[in-house]
Amino acid sequence: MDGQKTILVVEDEEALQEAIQTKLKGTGKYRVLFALSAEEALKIITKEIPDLIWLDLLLPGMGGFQFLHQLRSAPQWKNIPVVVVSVSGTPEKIQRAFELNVVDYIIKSQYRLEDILKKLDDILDDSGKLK
Amino acid sequence: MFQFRKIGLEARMALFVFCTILAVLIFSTVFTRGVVSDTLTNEVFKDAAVSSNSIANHIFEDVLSGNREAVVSQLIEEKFSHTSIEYIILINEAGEAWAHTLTDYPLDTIPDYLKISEGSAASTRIIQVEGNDVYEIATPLKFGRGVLKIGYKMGAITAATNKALLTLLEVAVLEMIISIIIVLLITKVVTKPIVLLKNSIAEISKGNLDVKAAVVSNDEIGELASVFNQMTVDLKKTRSGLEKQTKDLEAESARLQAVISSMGEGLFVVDKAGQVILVNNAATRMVEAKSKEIIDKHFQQVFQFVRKDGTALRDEEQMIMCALTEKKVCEINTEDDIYMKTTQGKLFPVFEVSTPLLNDVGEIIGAVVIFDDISERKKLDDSRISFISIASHQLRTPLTSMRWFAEMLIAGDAGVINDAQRKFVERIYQGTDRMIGLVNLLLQIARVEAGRVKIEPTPINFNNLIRGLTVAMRVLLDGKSQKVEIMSDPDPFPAILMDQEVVWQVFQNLISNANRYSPEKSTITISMVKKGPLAEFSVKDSGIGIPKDVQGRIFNKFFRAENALKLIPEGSGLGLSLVKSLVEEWGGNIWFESDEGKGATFFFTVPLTGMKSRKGDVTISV
Repeated sequence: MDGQKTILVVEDEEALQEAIQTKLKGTGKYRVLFALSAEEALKIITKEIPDLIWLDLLLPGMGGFQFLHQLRSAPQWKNIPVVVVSVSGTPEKIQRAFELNVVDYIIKSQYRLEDILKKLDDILDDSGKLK
Repeated sequence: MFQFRKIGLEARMALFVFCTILAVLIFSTVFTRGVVSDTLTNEVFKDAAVSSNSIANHIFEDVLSGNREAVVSQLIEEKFSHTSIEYIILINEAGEAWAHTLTDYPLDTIPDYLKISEGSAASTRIIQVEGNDVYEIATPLKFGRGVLKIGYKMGAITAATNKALLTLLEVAVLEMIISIIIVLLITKVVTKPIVLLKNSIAEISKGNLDVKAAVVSNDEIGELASVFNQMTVDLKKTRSGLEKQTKDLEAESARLQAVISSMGEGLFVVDKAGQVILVNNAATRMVEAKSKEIIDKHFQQVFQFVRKDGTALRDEEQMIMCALTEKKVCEINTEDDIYMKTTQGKLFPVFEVSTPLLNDVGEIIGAVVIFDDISERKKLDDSRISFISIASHQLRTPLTSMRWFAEMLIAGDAGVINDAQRKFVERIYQGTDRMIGLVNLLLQIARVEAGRVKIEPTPINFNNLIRGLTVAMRVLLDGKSQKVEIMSDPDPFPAILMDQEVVWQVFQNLISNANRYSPEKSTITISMVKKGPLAEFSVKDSGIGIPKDVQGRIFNKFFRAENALKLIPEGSGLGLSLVKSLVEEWGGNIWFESDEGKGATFFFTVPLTGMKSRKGDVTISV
């Protein structure tokens, strides 16, 4: 659909994936791509650059931080907005994530899915304005 | 060399009395000799004068009748009957010799030195006759018929006097001998109790405290013996007390020795210079050296505290040096990640506590060091922490998914639901929400209690921190139209080196409680007061308060008071437990003042010196 933004959700928990997919698709505003691991996400972004990446940090295999490093060191990917949505949020992790230029850091358990979607809307609106 | 002090008391007393008597005798003899000598001489002279007078009277008839021959023979007879008479001369009224006993001279002739001019005066003189002293008495005859001169031999007078003096001396010597005997007897009697006392003392000095000194008199010495006996009784008591104390001390020492040697932890004691003076079995075993290879060595030669990579700690990093120089207990904990290098080069993780040893006046005389191999504990801690992390992650992920799905059901993402269904799903949502909060709090408490929370002190401006908190909690506070007031003494309050996240957690929990349990439109007052070496903070609310009967349990995990449960059923009862752990972690105290229905004030302290930094491997945030 025209005007639809593409969001890549990197999340290894299938149940969470399902919830996110249902919620995001329900809005009709987004096209959602899913990856269960960072490796899978890299394959996807090689083919298509999303408007935003929803990134969980605790992933099997290559961790979220390593994925972020790869993203930021590649010129074609370094400007993709990334929102970290993780179950844990120690200051150390938050600081490290922001050093890797993430747009926001959301602790999953503290937010309703609805509120997270609002944040994503705001971010995508802002990035649209920038464009 | 003669030493007076070495003579016995008895002999000393005798010698003293003897010398005194001798001195008195010598003095009296010398003194009396002069007096007696003079008296005797005077007596003799008096006798001579009487004799002279008698002779003069005796011959006066013949002188008057002019019978010269009768006078002469009378004079000669007198001379011979008195052996002390040297000569007798009768001088007539014309001053001429008329009769005399001088055999070498004619009757009317005498030597000039025997002549006298004053024929009628009675006089005496001492003159020399043929080299001998002669005492001459001139006695005038009645009616001026001449002068009778009798010369007495001074030698004879002196001999008589000397004889009398000799007798005097003999008496003195006899007196002295008798005195010495009496003195010896008295001395014996006087010194006997002293000698007995001395013998008793000698016995006691050999250790025999059962001896009693005989009390033989009621005088000072008898009193001394009584006092001495009392002293012996006291001494015996003291000795038995001391013997008991010594036994107790020996037993105590043996017990202590047994405790030290059976201790599982390594223990060694160093003197002020850092030389090892005592080491227990566990320490020798852990450091892989024999006791004799350790004693008298500097501790750094044997007990090497190093980093994980084997590099030695600097002097200022050594806890023993800290205890020896700073007079305080210094310790290395699990999170300091310090190792001990054995004499064989092996490394093991240690904890160490060095305590300064002080003498009576508080000067450092050494340090006691206790250390232990914490390899096992470290492994256990590591697995505990990783268990907590994994468990909390594993719990929170499904809880999040439950919450989200419940949220979606309520939002109608899976189709419209009826009111009863909505009510049930809302219960699921709230329950999941509480469960997430509970898991987070449990994780925080576990981290604090494991002592693994990273502490990074930075200067905290408490005014800004509390304002930040009230902004972060605006939704909650505004929801009940509550105000937060800050009181600062002094104002501005000094910055203290604290870990921002830890302090934030403490204030957040206390303010959150105040918000939940206080009525709408109430005020929450946060005070900060500098008190000596501490900063005292308090959070005061006007809420439901804490009933007296449960005040002792308020910091227990999962405990919630009846009135709190009634007002807000879904609390966890973990917040205050976490706050207490955090405050005590930084060396502060926490307490509260409250009356049911009248609000509560929670106080906690922070040392102005702030928190020590710690290289923990987790943070308090979840």
